[in-house]
Amino acid sequence: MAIIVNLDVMLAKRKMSSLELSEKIGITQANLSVLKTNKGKAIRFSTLNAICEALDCTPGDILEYKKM
Amino acid sequence: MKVLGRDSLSSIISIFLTILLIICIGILIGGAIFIANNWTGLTESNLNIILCGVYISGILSLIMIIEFLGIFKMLKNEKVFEMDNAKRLKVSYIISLIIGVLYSIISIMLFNVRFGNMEILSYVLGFFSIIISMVFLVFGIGLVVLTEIYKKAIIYKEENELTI
Repeated sequence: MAIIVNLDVMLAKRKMSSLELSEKIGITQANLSVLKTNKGKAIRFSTLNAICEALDCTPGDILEYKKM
Repeated sequence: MKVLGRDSLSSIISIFLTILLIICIGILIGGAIFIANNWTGLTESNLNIILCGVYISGILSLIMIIEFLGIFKMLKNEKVFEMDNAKRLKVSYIISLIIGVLYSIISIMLFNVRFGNMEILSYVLGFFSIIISMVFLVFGIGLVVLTEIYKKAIIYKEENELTI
């Protein structure tokens, strides 16, 4: 897919662990791992909203479009 | 009554299919032994081809039963939307269409066979072959549509599972 999830980059910038983020936004670590590894097919606005709130960033910081 | 899972309709059907499979294997082996022992050479050359066609359709039906058995075993284990099931359905519709075509040919051949002074027999058997061929062709086309719907459902299910 041409959409890249830069969640690990943002986590590193905020010095936050995956476990911490998953607990903050209320999703399982398995689902967070799906997002981080770009295996996800779609992301709900509510999840995106929660991630942006927890990491204090915008959707553009997390999602990136790369032409294949 | 429950359709999926243990002690459900699927488990009853899978038991029924297992029994049917054993009976069919028995009939096919028994039929082959009977033909081999009583082979005197048929005068009508068409009859030999018809016999071969019927036997081949028997073997194909056996494969179809095995595929259905696999599907119902998956349903018994509550694994509904799996790609394996779609593959098994695909094999089943291919076999069903082949049997349909095979019986259409057999019916045409049966109309040209003369059973001594019982002319009506060739027409009766030919008529039944047409019905069998129609049933299998319609069933095959139905399975083609069902397989495509099933594949779409699996894709939607996977998408839904990977929506975070």
